[in-house]
Amino acid sequence: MARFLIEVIGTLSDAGSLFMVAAGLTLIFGAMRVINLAHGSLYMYGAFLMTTFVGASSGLRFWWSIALAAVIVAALGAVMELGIVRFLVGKEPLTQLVATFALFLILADTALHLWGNGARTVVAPSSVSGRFTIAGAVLPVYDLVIIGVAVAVGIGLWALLRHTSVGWRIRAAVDDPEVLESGGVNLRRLNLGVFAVGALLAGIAGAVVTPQVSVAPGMDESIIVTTLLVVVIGGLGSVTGTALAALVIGIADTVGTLVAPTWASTFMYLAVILVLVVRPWGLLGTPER
Amino acid sequence: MRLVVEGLHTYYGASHVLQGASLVVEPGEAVALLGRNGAGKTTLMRSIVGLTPARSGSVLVDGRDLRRAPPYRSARLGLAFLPSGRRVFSSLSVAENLEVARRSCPRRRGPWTLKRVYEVFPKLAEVRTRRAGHLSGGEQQMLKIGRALVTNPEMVLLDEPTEGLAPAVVEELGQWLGLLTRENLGILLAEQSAAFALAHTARGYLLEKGRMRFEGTMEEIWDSAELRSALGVAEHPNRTR
Amino acid sequence: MATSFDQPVGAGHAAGLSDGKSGGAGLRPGGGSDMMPVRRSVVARRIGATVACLAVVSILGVVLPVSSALDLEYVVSLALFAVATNLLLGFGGMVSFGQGVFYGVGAYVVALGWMHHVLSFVEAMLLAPFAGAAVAFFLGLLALRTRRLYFALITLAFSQLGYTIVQDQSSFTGGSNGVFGAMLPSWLLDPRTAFFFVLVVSVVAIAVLWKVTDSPFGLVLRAIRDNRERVDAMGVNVFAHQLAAFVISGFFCAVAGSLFVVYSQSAYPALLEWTSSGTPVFMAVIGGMYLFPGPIVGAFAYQLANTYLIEHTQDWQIILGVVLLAVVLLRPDGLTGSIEGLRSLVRRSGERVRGRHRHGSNGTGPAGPAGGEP
Ligand SMILES: Nc1ncnc2c1ncn2[C@@H]1O[C@H](COP(=O)(O)OP(=O)(O)OP(=O)(O)O)[C@@H](O)[C@H]1O
Ligand SMILES: [Mg+2]
Repeated sequence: MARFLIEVIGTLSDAGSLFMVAAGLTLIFGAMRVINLAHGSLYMYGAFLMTTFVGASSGLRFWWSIALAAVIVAALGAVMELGIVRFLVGKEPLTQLVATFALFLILADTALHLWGNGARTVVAPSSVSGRFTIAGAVLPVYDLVIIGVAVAVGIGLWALLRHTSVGWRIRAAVDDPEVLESGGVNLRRLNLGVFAVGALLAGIAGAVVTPQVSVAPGMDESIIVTTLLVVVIGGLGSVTGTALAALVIGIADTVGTLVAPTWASTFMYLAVILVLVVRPWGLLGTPER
Repeated sequence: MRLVVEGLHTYYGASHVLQGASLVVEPGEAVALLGRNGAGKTTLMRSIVGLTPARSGSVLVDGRDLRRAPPYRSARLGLAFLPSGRRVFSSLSVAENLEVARRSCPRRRGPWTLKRVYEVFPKLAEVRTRRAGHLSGGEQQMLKIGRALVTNPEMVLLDEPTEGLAPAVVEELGQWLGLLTRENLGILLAEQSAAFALAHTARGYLLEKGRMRFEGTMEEIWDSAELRSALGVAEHPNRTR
Repeated sequence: MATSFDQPVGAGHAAGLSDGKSGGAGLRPGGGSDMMPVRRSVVARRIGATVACLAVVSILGVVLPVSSALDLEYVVSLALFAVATNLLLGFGGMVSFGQGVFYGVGAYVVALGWMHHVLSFVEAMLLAPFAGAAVAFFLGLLALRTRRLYFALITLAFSQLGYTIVQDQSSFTGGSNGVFGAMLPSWLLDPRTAFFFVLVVSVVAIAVLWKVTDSPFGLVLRAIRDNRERVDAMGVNVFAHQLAAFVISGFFCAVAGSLFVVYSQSAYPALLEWTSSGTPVFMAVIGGMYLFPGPIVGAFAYQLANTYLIEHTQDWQIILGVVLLAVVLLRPDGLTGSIEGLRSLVRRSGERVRGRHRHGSNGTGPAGPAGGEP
């Protein structure tokens, strides 16, 4: 039982951070039909900025740093959108993939200049850095923080998309951007906003996970692959599908680690392949796309 | 609103689709845009609103040139474009569709409110919480018109509104067009269906391979065997009945 | 027809990334027309150019210092990798980000055959392409169920899957350290011999690929790229053709991978990684996907710049990124496409001056990625 609880919380925490990154990517894809290979770089920048802002201290500053890092990443996203990504709207997949991969390269090298080669760590404030015991299971408190933030992000996105006029506009853009635009909406501005929000989510995720990972170059490359997997099996453009898929990936990873440690990462890919064989357009995706 | 299109040239990549098309729609006037499959009717409308910007020529709305303006500008000036087919925001509810449309042009005030749209189209009120993707073809046409009306336009561009509709619904659509005319809205109606255009417009243009082949009253068009054959219609539609 | 290039939100956007054809009207291998017999002088010129290039490369292989000759050897094998990838990319309109798998399989067959003492070098070199083709067959069965962006992303996932397997099954594969050692037979130990071995194998393989693209099969492949629905309606088995292309590409990517072992006497997991899968794609994009020699030019440009930049600056990734952006946004036809476009421009204006009847620009103009139906 205790063992089970540990695995569940661990899985949820992994799935939670994955969901935050992937939700941003899928939101951008849904509204703009642009796939962004540099999305993982935004996540990495969130993490690196966090290490800079937190510095040696911890405490209240920790939470402010998350917010600040996320906002700066959102601004970086806005610059990317204005400079490059908006010219990729309506282009074919290859163009988008190559161009955003180029952004990935540029951002990776720039990060190397800014933060160097070494790994950095961030210490969470003492209030959330310990462990707690429940039903005999000893669990990291910080797992709950990640789960909490992920749930908050999920609810926030849901509320945005369902209950605000901007959210309706975004969903309308997913359905038919041309009609929206010829109906009077400045689509470029909307896209800019969507891209910034997507970047914000990646930034939050990157900043929030810092106490649990070592922040180093290469983070971008490893997260983007998993994120793409999540987004693809969730169905490109579907936020709910992304949440489901993050769980699927998280569970596959956990089960894999338990059942056959040397094949653990392979499990994740098998889950992806299985989903795509049954539903080539992902769990909640639509065939037209 | 007065719409004047002059010498529009539009390309899809290398293919030269509009080859100097011109037309005029006076305020409150209903004008037909006729032409066979692939003549360029849709392209002309897309170039007018800016979805497929023309490479040269001009699109004057009350004297202002919109050829290179982004599509949202024409909507905010009161030019509503209703593309053909089932172009509604399918995952949004009917009410959300109308609300999105209304807020897209927040500065456009006028007689048309959500309430009035629901009064004119009681059917829309009945299905207001339903996903627009689940509406019937007729209901979707209604929603498209409603979406245009809540922006209080001065002119509407209708691209083949009768396409795929049952005859009864086409008749209803005719009544809605009558309503638009009574409200003094300008109408540009692209149609292949000759009878429908004849019934609802007085003047028309015949587009052929991206050029205006003829301009005149609808009667003139139908009285000329040559123009009829250019349109691919054998008889004056009213005389066949 | 490049709808998507001159309108911010084109028809392609409305239909959701639906610009299905990545080709455009005029992709002809080598610059002739698909339909018309190529003039003899053109053929002669092309053969001449090819022979001249080969002669230059051969001479360089002899006169260059050994280390530079090795660089050149590597570039030659990469050129094969890029051409094999471009069979899918430029000719098939299938954006695969998983070619590293076949490359890696080719390399590992040779390396593991040596490490586990099960295959002689020659046996391994002969087996490698077929192993690549077999893997491509099974992955193709799965990946070709999807299209376009999903296809690109699922092949990327395969690439990463291959990487993970090789990395994690360390008892068999050597894990993240990879395999290295004296795996070449004695007759290949001389670097000049190895150079010509790699050159000959690559040239033969590229020649075969040229034949493939120039065959009726290649024609169908391009027709599918340009208008899948129409080809489908004509009763052609689209899936089978695409799968065949995928297998052929896998075959030759594995050849390139096995040549990597000749060059480096090693194999390691990163060969299969998605970034490695991206390399031949970028080479093709830089060189130009719509002409047969494009990827070769791209491979030379990419790798020479890479070698030079790594020596002289830390920022080669930034430079590569900027170049990729510039090419893909400003010159989507790549280097060869630009040259070809210039040439046809000159040719056409010349014809105009002489007042001759102009042929349609079909095929002579730069073949931009096209917009169109899904
Ligand atoms: N997105 C596009 N890309 C390339 N060519 C296009 C595109 N859209 C339309 N065309 C071409 O432009 C020409 C004009 O098309 P258009 O849709 O404007 O004609 P239409 O008069 O509206 O025809 P219909 O009555 O069938 O709707 C046609 O030859 C068509 O094939
Ligand atoms: Mg039309």
